[in-house]
Amino acid sequence: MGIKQDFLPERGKQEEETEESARTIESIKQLGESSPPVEVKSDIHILPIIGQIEGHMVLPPKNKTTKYEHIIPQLVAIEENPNIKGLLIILNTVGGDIEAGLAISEMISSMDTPTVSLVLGGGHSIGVPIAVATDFSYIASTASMTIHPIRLTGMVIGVPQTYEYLDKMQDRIIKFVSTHSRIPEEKFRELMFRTGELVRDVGTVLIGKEAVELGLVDEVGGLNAALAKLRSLDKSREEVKD
Amino acid sequence: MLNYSIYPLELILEGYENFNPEYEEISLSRGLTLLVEKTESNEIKIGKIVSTDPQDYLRPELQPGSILKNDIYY
Repeated sequence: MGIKQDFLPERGKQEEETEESARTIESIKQLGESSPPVEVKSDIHILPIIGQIEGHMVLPPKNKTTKYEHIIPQLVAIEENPNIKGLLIILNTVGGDIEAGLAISEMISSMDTPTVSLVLGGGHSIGVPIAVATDFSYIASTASMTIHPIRLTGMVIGVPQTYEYLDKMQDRIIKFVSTHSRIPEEKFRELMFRTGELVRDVGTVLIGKEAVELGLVDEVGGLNAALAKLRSLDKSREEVKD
Repeated sequence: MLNYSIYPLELILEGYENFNPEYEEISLSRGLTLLVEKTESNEIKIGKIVSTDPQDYLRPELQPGSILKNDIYY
């Protein structure tokens, strides 16, 4: 109770102060004498890829989704904005639409702006090509990546999903991952179809260090390492320009 | 749609039959169009933005899911 009483007047005071500063900025604007304080803007932008990667279908609202039709123009905006010096992609995704995931991956891999990815929690399924699409990739030591074949489940919508078709789709993912990381194509395919690792399914779960040892991700690290990498990538890019 | 996810498709699409969002188009200045969903009488939720200016997609107030007061735009 005592804490609450102490806390309340303090909070009231703070609100009063913000109101006062807002009035000050307003009057500065009206006088036109000097410019109001500039808002602090970061030159490193962040793109979280979370939940399901949403493709051509709008998913029911209980899913957390990353909408590719919004992400793609954002990547264009980031690439052409000279004030943005780097892009940090944070992944915590369970996978999603193949076409949308590959589209995002291709966009990221063809950017000149320095890009670094950080896998936190999980970067599963179609999250794997997105993680390796950047200039440099990090994985948290506790984060995991699941590599598994494309599954045929009960409900199938619209496409002729023959075995051959699925195989072709799998090849697209395998090719992208092997060209954008150090993992050889055969090794990735072997991880995808390995038995005995996942309960009732084929595939592999890689945790932190394992993903680095196999060459899928570049380093185990966190936020500070990822930001430092972006700064150094930007610096070397500036040097090339000069 | 071909899904590649650790979640089974049945779980992702649960409730899809009863999910019929209604979108409305609102045209703002400079060729900026919003596809919005009406939530309450005076509020609209952005579903998607349509613009040829990529910088519009970085505007914080125009991110999908943002709530706007309807009366500003009518």
